Amino acid sequence: MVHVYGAGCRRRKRGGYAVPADPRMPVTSTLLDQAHNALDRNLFMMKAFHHPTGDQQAFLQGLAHLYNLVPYQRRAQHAGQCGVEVEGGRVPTADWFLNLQILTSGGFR
Amino acid sequence: MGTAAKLTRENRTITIDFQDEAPYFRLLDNGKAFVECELAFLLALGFQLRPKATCRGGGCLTRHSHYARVRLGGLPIWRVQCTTCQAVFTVLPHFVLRHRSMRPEVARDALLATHGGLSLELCAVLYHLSPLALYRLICALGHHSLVTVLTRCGRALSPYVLADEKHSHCLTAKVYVPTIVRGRVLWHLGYTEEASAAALPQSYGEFQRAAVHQEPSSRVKGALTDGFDSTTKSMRTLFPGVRLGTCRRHALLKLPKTLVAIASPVRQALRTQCHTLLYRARPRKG
Repeated sequence: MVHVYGAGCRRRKRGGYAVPADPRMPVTSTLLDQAHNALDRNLFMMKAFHHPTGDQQAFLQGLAHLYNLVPYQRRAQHAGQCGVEVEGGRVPTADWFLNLQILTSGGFR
Repeated sequence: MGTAAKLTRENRTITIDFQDEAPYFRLLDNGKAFVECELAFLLALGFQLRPKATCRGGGCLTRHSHYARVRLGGLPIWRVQCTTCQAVFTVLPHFVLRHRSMRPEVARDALLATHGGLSLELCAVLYHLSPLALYRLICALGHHSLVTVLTRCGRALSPYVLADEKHSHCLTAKVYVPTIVRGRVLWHLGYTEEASAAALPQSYGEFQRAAVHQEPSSRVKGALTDGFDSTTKSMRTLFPGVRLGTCRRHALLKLPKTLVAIASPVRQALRTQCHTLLYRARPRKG
């Protein structure tokens, strides 16, 4: 028996096969969900985010810099490391705030 | 009346770590040692200064001028100049924040508390500053592109990313935060007021433009999404030829709804087979 699938059906199935087909593809969105949850906890407390004339985009991006550069573990495998270091990046100094100051300086290329 | 737009001055501030305040004040009297210290710091970092577009390179730095930061008790701030392109860089010592009189120690503690989930109001009470000052500090950091900052850390742009949007509320309006992540690092965090097929590409497009500007050869080869139509369409539009995957967790969550017409034992068996296949395809390391 031959099954004939429509183009829409084929398109829908492609997403599921893309992950096993390429071993470098991430499998689950767990790390993205972690970032979203952290952001959600922050925004829940932030009245400034809801300011009608505020710069929400810049505020979110500022929070994202903190998420990337503030060390987030104390005892586990990556103790004292920030997200950038965990992912193989180099930070200029051991002090996260100094890193933030240096990396957000406009004079560097 | 002139209608010419006012030219904005480019931000050429560089923050230098002088270890302490005392060496900075000692170096102020010695121009040569000041520039040498700055160059040593730049070499240690491995960063380059951002000259003017017309700069041919090969020049050196010289002390240009200085001004006193009145709000910090008349602290002298020096500027240095590239001798080739005449670009002027403001040298900020590590104990001074750009355009702010807030002490870095206070800013560090307040930012850490904010990052930890404390409201701006509570942070302001704890660290004796204005909530708006803290808000502005975060916004000032946010004016720097995530892609630029991450590439300065030696992170090459990843060809495989996770893309999704989070809904949140801004006053009474529902808003969306399109996000691009690779591992534990956020590469893009946007803000849109709708999740339409027109709004999301605009937000994700900012990441694409920043990535191409930073590394013209960069290309996203694969993206994992939760299967949301607008996100997948955006990815296809912005990154032609991208391999799109569906997150396994999202797929498994949606599976029972998709198979609702099938009898429960058959559905269970299919689900188990699906789990086995997916885990076999990608065994856990270690």
